[in-house]
Amino acid sequence: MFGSKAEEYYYNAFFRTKLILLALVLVQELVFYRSVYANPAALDQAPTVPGNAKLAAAISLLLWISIACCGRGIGYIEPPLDKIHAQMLPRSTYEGEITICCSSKQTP
Amino acid sequence: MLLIQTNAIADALNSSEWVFPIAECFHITAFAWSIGMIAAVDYRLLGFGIQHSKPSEVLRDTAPWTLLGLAVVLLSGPLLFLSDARMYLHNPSFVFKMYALAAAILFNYTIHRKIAQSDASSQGVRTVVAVVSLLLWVSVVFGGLFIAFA
Repeated sequence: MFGSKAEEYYYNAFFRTKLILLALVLVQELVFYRSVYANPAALDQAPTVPGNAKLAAAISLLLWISIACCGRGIGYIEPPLDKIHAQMLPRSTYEGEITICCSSKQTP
Repeated sequence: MLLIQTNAIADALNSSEWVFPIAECFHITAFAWSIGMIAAVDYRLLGFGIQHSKPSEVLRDTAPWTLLGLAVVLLSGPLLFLSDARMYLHNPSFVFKMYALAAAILFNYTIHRKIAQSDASSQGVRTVVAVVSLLLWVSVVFGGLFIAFA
């Protein structure tokens, strides 16, 4: 799916946020691995669910819900690719060419 | 006539650029929530997932959360629908989703519940019920997804 419109996704703020949040899921798993995820049997023995397990669960839920919402948001914004492209080209030397390249609008 | 009356609601929903996407977030999150709960019961019926509990116990523990999610789904859904009721009524994916949703909810609270509650049902029956349940809910999700592409 990313490959179909790679550049649009790359500059999309929601897409970037979504990727960061996905990375944070991994961080969350690693942070709580030793205390929560590595020994689930200890959770069974505890009379109540320990605080750090609850915290891990809450953070996990929050992250996944945010990922879903960011995914939904991707479709609602469109990065200004024309402006981004214009900034990438050295304006002073190639001004003539920019006008030519940008006059033929190729929107997918 | 009904459509004209709903115009006031539609205007309110379309007044801000972000009302619709935020309602959509609630809708999608709640669907994921409920279908996840139902899937936990289905996985148990199929013979994997939460195996240390009986199907009836998995159902008992998830049912209130399933209902909560479905309540949010059924509150946010009509809001989304009313933002552009005419378009949705003519959208084949939307119509498909509504039939699939009605079938899924009906199945969930009749046959599905009955089989999950009876811990004595045969594995064959359990498998069929779990597969039908999963297929129905996946159909709802796909119907919803393709509203945007129809």
